[in-house]
Amino acid sequence: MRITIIVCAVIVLGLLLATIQVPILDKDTINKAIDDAISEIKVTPEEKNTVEKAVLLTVRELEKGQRRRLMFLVSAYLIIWLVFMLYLLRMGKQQLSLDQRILQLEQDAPIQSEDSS
Amino acid sequence: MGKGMTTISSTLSKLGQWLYRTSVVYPIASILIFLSICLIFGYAEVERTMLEVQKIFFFHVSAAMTLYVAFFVNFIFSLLYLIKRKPDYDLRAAAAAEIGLVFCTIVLLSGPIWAKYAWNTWWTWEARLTSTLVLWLMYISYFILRSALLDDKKRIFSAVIGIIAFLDVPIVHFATKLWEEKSHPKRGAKVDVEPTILHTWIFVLIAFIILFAVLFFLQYKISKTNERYDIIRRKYLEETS
Repeated sequence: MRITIIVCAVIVLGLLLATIQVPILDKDTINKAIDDAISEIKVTPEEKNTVEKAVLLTVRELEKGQRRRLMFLVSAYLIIWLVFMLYLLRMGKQQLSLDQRILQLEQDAPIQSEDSS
Repeated sequence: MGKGMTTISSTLSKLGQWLYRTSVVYPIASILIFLSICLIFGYAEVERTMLEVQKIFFFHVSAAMTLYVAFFVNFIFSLLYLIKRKPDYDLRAAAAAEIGLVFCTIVLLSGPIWAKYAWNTWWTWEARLTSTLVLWLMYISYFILRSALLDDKKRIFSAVIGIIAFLDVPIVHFATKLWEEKSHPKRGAKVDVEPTILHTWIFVLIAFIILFAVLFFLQYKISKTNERYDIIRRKYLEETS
């Protein structure tokens, strides 16, 4: 039971870690976005810096937003799995305690019968 | 009515026992849950309004639906116990209630995370949230009562509470319609559900119901063995004393 729970937790954590990786835009993509913006609105060379800053700020905001959303998503899934794990552990504990009590009863029985004879 | 329910219950019981005996259901449940996660993160498209946060809904809504099933099973076995007075029905009712409570806890814990993003608040006293909390509290009281009373009294009182508590399930389900204008926060315009999202949700729901069946029979078997142990021990102590 415990091994299953640990394996399950590792798989879930692995999947979640793979999911929360925010795809960081590389420099080439950002430069392309800046070039596209400049070519579309036809800015003067002086305004180029402003456009560049605006694009970089937008990218940063988008990444921040995505990171926030993924944080919510991961928290929810972790809580759900934690509840399941705790319940499974409790169930395993119940089973273990029952096994021990049955074993105890089996061990007691011959001793008692020997005493009575 | 009683006869019909007994037939349904015995058919379900036989099916469950067969699934339990053959042990087919354990790997099926594990694989389905694993595939559900793969579908949620690999197949289902990102919803346009809520973006990634919408993915909470796959487990949240499925857990809510499964808790309806669990509490319905509890309701049926509670009713059967009151009619037939077989202790076995009481054990089944308690097992269903326990797993229903686990799913209810999941709903109550994952809901506020979504609410924080969507409504900018962890909790609001709107109809569905409040009725779900009431449902959770009623089943908590069900277990408190079970631990406080003994044998027949415990069984009768918990069966009655199980039946009364189930009456809250339709209230939870229809809460948004019943109190829509008064208290339910507007969730924005209706969004067309993408087929990939719908398929994934149906798959997750089936996986959850199978998971419930597995946990139900495991919990029932543990409780049953526990009870048999108590009987054997009592008999043994009586013989030896």
